[in-house]
Amino acid sequence: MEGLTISVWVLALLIAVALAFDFMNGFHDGANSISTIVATGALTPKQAVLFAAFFNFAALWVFQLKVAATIGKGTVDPSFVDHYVIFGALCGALAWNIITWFYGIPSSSSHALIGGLVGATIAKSGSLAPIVWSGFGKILAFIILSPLVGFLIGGLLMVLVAWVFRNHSPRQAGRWFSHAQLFAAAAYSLGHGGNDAQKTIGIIWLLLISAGAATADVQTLPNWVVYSCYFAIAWGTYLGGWRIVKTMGTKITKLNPVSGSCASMGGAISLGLATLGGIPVSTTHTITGAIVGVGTAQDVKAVRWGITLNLVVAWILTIPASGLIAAACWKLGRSFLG
Amino acid sequence: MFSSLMPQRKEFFDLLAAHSDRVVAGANAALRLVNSLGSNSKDVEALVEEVNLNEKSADKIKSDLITLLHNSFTTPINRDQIHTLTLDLDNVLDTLQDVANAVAMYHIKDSTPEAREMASLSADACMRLNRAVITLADKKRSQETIDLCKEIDQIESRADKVLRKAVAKLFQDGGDVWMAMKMREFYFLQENVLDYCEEAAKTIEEILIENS
Repeated sequence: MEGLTISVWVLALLIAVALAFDFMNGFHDGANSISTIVATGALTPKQAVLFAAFFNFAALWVFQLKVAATIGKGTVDPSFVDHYVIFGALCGALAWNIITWFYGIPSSSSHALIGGLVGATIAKSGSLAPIVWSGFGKILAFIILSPLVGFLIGGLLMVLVAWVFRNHSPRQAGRWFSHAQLFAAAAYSLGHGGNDAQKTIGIIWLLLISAGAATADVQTLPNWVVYSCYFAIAWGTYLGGWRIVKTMGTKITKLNPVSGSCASMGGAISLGLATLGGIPVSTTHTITGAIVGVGTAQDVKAVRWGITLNLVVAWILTIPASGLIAAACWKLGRSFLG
Repeated sequence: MFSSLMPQRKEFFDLLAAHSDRVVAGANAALRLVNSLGSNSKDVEALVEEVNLNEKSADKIKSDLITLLHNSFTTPINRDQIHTLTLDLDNVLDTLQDVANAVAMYHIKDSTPEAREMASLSADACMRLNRAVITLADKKRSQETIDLCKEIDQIESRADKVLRKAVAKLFQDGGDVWMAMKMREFYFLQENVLDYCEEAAKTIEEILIENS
């Protein structure tokens, strides 16, 4: 077991950074799923954050670790990865997240993580050889596909609801949806937890493989990794959900119980499908796609296209940028990490 | 792309068109009424009744429209704009009814050239209003709708001039004071019809601007 040359402390530090990344993800996105249920008074803010945190964690029992597997062994060749690469990947992703947060670009932390991983791996190997193109290609394709799928499903759900309730006023329909939106928000939280927590699981898995503490076989992945990752995202959601004032829901188009439910459900279905297929996607971009789809169904002019255009910028920039930072961090890590 | 899959609810346009049909019928009856003043009193009574009937039938359409508004998830144009437009059309018919009933109320036995001109201007405006409401349903005909609204505006301005001239004529020295009081009131009622036509045209223009 050559890999076990790294110290337990370095290993613990990197796992802590990975969990912090996971926590930040929950903290950042927690408000998305609950903004509409709080705004319409279906739940109090406290109930809502507990609700969202619970379903983020509950995803643990719903989804298999397919997304984790794609990150852990399907993006880059695990035998190339060492702890420097993981350090670089995490630093690159964190740095890019802070930069985009500062400039208000709706970037995806998932893409940043993958960009960081790929960037640090390339820096180490000096070539593109360790990239597993089947996995990475799938991820690249779904950067564009996942918001589109969200857009389609969200829009079609809105059309379906409009037909089902065509002889009711929006207010009457809204009364019915005060319950439906709880279901939709729960589904969305499940999808969020399932896809996003597994990305961190994948990174820690990769780290454990490189340290020789686990193999590419899912059986060797310790349970505490899975539990702590889901816990970190749920806890992040619980704490971050409080900042419900400004969310995607109000920035892109106005949402009411009906359109809010359709958007959440559209996002949830898209995320669920991606998670079942083992594809890491950006939850923020997926729900954004669903919100835009719902907005378009109601009125094309109700969509603030400027904000949606920012997404496209984020699509193109995130992976190269976080990859570059990760490559630099990889170099840095080599000079002072044991 | 999704908006074309949504329930279209064209029946709102059908009801608005039906409502404006009543406006045209009412305005034509009022025009014939003013023109037949001084001839056959039987005709006058029948024509007053015709205006009243059109107003009644328009009220029914209005209430159907409002019920439909309460029972629709989607509307082809803004909910409150549909409501405003149907109220505007309702106002036009109410003022037409005021004109018709004023004939009996003020015992107006003879019309004047100015009264006939005002009645014919209001019939013109109502006819254009009807066409504007019908073309509103078709986005490709929005230019036609805009032009019709402009014409209604011009007709209203012309009616303003006719009104001023008519009132001035009534109060010329040595005129019949009794007649002047009656006809002054009558002219202003006639002018009200055109004011509400203009209101309705404004609402239609707002709808067009919002949906352009």
